[in-house]
Amino acid sequence: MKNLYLLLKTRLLNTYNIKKLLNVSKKRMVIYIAIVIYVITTLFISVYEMVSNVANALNEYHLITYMPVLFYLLSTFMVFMFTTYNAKGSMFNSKDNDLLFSMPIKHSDILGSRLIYVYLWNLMTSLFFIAPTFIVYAIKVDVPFIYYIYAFIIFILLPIIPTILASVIGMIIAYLTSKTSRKNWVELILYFLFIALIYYVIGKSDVIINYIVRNSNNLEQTLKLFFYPLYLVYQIIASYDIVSLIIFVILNIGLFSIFTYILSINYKKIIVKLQEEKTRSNYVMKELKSSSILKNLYFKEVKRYFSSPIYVLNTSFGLILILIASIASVFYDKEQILVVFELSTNGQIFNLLVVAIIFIAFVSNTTSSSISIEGKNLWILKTIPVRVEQIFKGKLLLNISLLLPYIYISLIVLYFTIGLTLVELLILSLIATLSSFASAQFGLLVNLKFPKMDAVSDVVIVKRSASAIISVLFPIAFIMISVLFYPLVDKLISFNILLIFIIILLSLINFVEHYLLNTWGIKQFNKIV
Amino acid sequence: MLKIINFSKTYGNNKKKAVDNLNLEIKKGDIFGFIGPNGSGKTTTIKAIVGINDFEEGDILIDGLSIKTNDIECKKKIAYIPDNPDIYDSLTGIGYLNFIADIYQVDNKEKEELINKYATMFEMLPNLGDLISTYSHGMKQKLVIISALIHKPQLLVMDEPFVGLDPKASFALKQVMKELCAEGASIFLSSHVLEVVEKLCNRVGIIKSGKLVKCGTVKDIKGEKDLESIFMELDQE
Repeated sequence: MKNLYLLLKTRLLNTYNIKKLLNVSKKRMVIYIAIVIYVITTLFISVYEMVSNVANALNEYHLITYMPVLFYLLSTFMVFMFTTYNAKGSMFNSKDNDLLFSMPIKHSDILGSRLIYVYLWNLMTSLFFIAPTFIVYAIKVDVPFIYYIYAFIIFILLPIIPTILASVIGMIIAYLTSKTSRKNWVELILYFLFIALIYYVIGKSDVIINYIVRNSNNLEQTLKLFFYPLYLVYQIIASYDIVSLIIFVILNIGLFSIFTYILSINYKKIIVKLQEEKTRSNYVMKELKSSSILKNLYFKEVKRYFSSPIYVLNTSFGLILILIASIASVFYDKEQILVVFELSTNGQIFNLLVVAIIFIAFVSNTTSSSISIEGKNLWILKTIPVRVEQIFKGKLLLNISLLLPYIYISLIVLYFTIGLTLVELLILSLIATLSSFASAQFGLLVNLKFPKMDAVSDVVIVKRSASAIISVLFPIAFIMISVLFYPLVDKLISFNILLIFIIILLSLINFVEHYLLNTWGIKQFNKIV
Repeated sequence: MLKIINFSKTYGNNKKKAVDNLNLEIKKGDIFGFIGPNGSGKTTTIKAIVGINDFEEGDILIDGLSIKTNDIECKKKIAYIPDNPDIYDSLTGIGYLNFIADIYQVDNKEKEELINKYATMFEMLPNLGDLISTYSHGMKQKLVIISALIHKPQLLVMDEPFVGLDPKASFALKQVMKELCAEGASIFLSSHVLEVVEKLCNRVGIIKSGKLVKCGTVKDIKGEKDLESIFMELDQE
């Protein structure tokens, strides 16, 4: 138990540099706290707004008691998706494997500390969805005091089942990839297939739900058939049923204990298997190609990027979104699109695309991890005779080359399918270009400010580092606030003027970022050791 | 070839200097051994010479050029072999060597010749097509050494270069070092293996608590004793 606590403490301190954070000046601490409060508050308000709208809709049909169940399911799904991406890196491919397995520590303690670490992270993720849900529910429904205790217990236990399910999937993927020589590509393909399967199931959810409803007597019975913990959550919240609560607690803790026990028996074997590498050792000297410094730096970035499936998956979210949107536009006509997005005019599709493109550019950010991902290899970049600006260019180029061709092609598809005008296409392309450059430069600046050079795995860098979180959440929070305030602005100025303002603002942001990178950024890069 | 003038380095808000007013000069053809206890300032000095660490006090000149103001030109003349061979796992061995050669703009023909020569010498040629992630510590170390040699450096800066090398590779490295110096290059070498320093270097500097306490030819410093005895005596002072 003591070892488990020590391992967990070390991992948490190492991931978040807590000791370093506590030693920063008061002024910096105030800035950090302000950023954290800003991001958390904006996200919380946005989710709260969404939950309230759903609650109002459900209330009209007297279905408000199903609201917590709905968001419990959503949170479970989110946690499941996040964990599937990073279970392999967090639990099996850690850089401290050799160190820990050489120490007199029980394998179950190593596994336990990693599982709890993932669990704590998932707890934070689910907090953003489940806390506003329980607050809105308490406001809409007259709840007794016991509700708050029950809600808290549900919140604490929520991440367990999706964490276990995702770990099992992560383990299967890890096992399958260990049998091949092209591990990273196979892993990437398996993850994409898995995501495609999930989207397929979501797409077919109406058929599945109809089947379940047809084969059950009522909604409660449906929940029982679909996912038993959902039924328990419903009973706990709607009827304050203590028996359901006890079953829910036993189910979660029991599953966690069984899973940890079974996995701990084969834990070391799985890790050893994953570390096995296939080599050919038959190289003969061939003619070598030469390329320019920038091209070399760029391809180094490309190879590093594709060598890390978690890096690819984490930054391809936006690209998948726009791909799905453009493919979907081929199959749906414009009228259907207007209905799906609750839009009234063609112009609103264009407005939506403006926001979507800026959003996609900022969530598909590779540069926010590009300095941290160098880790102990940073000495190479620091000792080669290359200007820091060139090193930055290589990193920016990766981000832009991944993003822009994708967006341009999608926009051309949308031009033909939903009938954008040529001017609209050009404006959207301009916004996409400006946003991509702004996002790439912003990510790099944030990473230079918050480098994480001693991470135990790529997961820590691309998903949990301060840089990765800030560079995505900060712009998203900004976009969300802009969208929330848009109705107010809409009354004062036309969208065309707003569009000009957006283009000028993005250009200005690019200009300032470029200046900062070439002054402060270079100094900051030289300081990183 | 290398001139360190009044170099001092302090980390963060520490009052104590990691290196305090260091002055050194290494001439063409020198193999200079830089020795000292752990935490004495060896790696700090090395990282400043090769341009990894910034510094405020003093200057470091490579062939007359300051690393502070002419870092790119200086780096073109230097090759660095760190104490830990952390290199890009996602590249193959040949991919890494090609990357380094292109960054240093080595002519294509010369690049192939030198890679072939050194990879054969260090028995790495058959492994060059494999991913670096599959390499052992020693193989990575050999690859770093090869990459340091393919652009014909004028100053080779080495931090514990023999760690992880098998006897054959150690022998090959010593041969290469002698060869390079005979051609006019200089070597700045930090090592805890005093016998190697004694046999290989013509000049030696001993650093303790950030200060250079002795510097001169190996013969002058050790006199009738061996380098280990001198080192132990200085350490206990």
